[in-house]
Amino acid sequence: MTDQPLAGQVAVVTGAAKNIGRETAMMLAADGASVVTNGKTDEAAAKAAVAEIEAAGGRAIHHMADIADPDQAEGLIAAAVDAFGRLDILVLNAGIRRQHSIIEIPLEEWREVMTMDLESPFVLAKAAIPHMLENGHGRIVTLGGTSAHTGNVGRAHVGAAKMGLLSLTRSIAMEFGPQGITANMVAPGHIDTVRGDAAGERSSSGAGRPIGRMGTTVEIAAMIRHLCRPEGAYITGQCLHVDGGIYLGGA
Amino acid sequence: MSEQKLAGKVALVTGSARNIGRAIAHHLADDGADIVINGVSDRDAVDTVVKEIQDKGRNAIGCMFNVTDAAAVKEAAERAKNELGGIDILVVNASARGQVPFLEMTFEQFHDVVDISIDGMFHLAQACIPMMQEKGWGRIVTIGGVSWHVGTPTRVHNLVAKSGLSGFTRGLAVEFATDGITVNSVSPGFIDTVRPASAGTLPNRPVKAPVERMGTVDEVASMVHYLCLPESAYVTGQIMHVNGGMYLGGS
Repeated sequence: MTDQPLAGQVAVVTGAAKNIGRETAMMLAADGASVVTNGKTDEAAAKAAVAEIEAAGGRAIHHMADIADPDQAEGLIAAAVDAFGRLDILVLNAGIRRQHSIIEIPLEEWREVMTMDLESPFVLAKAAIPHMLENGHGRIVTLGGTSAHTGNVGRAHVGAAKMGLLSLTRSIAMEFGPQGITANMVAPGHIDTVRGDAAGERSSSGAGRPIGRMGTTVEIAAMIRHLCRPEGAYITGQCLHVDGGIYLGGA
Repeated sequence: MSEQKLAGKVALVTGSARNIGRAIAHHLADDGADIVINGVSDRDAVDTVVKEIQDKGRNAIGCMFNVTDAAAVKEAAERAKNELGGIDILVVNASARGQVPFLEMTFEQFHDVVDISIDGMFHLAQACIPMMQEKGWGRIVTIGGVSWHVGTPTRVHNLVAKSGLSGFTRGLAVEFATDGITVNSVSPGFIDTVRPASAGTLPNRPVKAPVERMGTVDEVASMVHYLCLPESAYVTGQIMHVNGGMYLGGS
């Protein structure tokens, strides 16, 4: 193993200003990738992530974009290619969480979640894949969540979007596997993150938590990193659960 | 990698004289672990791998034993404790393969294959878990296989063995989660290995992998390595498919 298995590669991480996205950006940069950290509103945080990467000897730029807007999503991919000349890795981390009973979800909120958590990954992947095809190599990692698999009171729209995203992930894996592109989903359980007010109370999934603690952003990012490294090349179409054993997958 | 994340750890890898087991031993040793190499009949092959690991500057011992022999497993665990300081990582890799139409399968053939996986896991886990509990840290990784997930003819014994091993994996994952011990399975697809005559020819697969090649032993070993890392502590009870997308799990 070399010290920098991702040297020469370029990664875009959406929602990289904080939490899982930020940790992922740090780890990919530490592996040698040039990273574009995307944020939506908190430019200072996106810049801070870049500064931290640079301080550690890595290369990064930030690019603010509301990826729910297709033009801005495409602009994010273009900005990465403009800055670094290629694109190898796309981590679709940005998402929104909302919490309402199914019978109280306003249709606009349902659509807002679908736009952000399902449509924007489609737009971003569609823009990114041609660049990966040029390389003959690519990695797409989407972020799911345990509650999509277990069902969850209050998160019907988020769960529905994430399961749709899993199917999109698998379709990418099937269609572009022969061209050297892998696509996988990482499904975090309860992770200790800083949450926006709109995310609502931390949910309880009903099932017990075999490992008696929340997970860390590092533990999610390490799985993403493994999938992005050269040795992850034979893993595709999978949903990898990093959840302390809350949900054991369908085997 | 400069920083050795498994320094001070000891790994027992069953069936590590060749192929996937040997690759796992190398990956763990490259990250600083000392290794117990195991084989059942080919002493020379075991000694060769022991030498390879020692040449890397790691400690290694060779233990010839059949995993179905409880006393022999216990003796090997004692030896690991006395000579290397215990067992922190257990990789249950040894298994038997064969192809026999079910109606021609003798009860002995059935049990030979099932016992290596199931009885072997029983003896190995009982011998190793107390040592892991003492240290409050442990990793158990079982090697499954895609065959029982997709259904493969003339291999009922093997499918029963591997599916049982998955149940074993989940049961132990949940029971020992709060002891700092994770238990996961890696399920390889079509891997390019040297096969003994008894394994028969490669079975016809009902599905084609989108990554249009066989996987390498290193691609399987690197997933095992990932699961043994400190930052993988929140992954437990999972089946990680390394199969080029030929089977997508039940998600």
